[in-house]
Amino acid sequence: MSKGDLREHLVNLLNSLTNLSPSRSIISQIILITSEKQTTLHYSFPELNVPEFKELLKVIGMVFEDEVKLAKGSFAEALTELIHKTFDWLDDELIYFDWSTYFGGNVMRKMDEVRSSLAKLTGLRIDLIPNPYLEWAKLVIAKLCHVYGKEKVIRFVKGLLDGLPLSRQDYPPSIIEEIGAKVGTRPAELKEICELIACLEKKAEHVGTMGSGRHPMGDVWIEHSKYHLDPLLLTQVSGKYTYGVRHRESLRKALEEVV
Amino acid sequence: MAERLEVGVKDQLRNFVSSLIALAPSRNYITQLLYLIKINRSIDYRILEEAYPDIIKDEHVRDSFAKAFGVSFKDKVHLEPGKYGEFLAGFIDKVLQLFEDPEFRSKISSLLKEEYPQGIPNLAQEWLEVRLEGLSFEPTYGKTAIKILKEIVRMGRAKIEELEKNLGINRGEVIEATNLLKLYGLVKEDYYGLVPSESLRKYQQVLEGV
Repeated sequence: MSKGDLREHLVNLLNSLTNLSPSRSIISQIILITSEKQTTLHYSFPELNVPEFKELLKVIGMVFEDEVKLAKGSFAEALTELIHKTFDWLDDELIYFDWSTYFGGNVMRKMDEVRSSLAKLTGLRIDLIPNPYLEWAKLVIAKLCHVYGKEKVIRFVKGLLDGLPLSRQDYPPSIIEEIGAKVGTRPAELKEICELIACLEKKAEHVGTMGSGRHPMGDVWIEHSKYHLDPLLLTQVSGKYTYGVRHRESLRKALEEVV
Repeated sequence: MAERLEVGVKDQLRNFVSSLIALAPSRNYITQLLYLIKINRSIDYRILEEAYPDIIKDEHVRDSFAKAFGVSFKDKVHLEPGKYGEFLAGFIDKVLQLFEDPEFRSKISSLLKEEYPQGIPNLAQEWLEVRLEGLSFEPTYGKTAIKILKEIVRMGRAKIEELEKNLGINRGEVIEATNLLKLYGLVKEDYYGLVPSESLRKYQQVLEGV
């Protein structure tokens, strides 16, 4: 195999992964935006009215009851995880935990040379490496601007980007109230926007532990939002909770480009 | 049935299926390398250097690959925990399982008859075929390895000494050839000897054709 072939295989891989992301695939969108009432999902995705299509989604692990769910251990569940990891990977945001002899335990790190390394391997300019997170963020922000009005969505995303990290002593903090105070939108509407973009209550996913088993230092969670932009990373060290913002650059860029 | 699908939905389905197929280790050199490392947990650097020279021999390519996918290239090559390469290799398992499922393949095949007139490929079987083909072309121990593999399948379980005796091959060669079989994930070794991999037991007819 020549270097040219290697590039071709890598570009094919990146294209396949990007084509599986929700900005390009309605199947991935449906799988990602579950936990809705079946009637609501049917309304959002009329494709579900085609019986063969719906049957296929069942085979890959979607469970259509009153509420739509993903079966544990199913392909659909694995695909959801792939989408999240690919979002983070191709946006240089992949969080992982690495052993450190200095700290005597796991420390949180970020893979931040992915895009530049892929650019070197493919010979493409770094901005031509696909970024499924950015694509998806643009779609979500555009949709929400259409529903809630540009101003509110801009204020919210800007508030999120500029007003954090927030520091709290207790968990779960009421982040919606915190952001609401900064953004100044009606609480009910703000709650909706917050759930769609930033975080759903009780949907924080524990992603890792810092420190060793004998000397635990803290925990890390990612807050999940309905549209899976998941920008909030919550860390707890010595009882102190701190929010950080992930995908900052891409969210800013998406906001600029859409608005 | 398929005629009832709207063009847009059909395009979406085709795009989804072709993207998954393109990830298969039988079709992509990158996922193949990552998946081979995964099934072996770690592989000797010198073995991989011979098998994938374009990724491993050039220092710059190797370093960029390591950074992009989270692969550690030391004496032993392994996927670093928590990084994307490890995750992607795990997802490949799920893709192979899905395309092995007859219900999934028959449903998709009926919806995408024109695009896949031969039916949707069984990627697990295809991966086995690619490994056997690669093995048979391995210049040093390939042919011996195929012979040994057929004997292991025939016996169901075999010890090195039994293979040595039954096939009249010297011990050194048997060990090298079985190492190759283990590298390709075609046999597994337990306390009682070598056994064929699960995929080989399922698709024995593929080996008969080699």
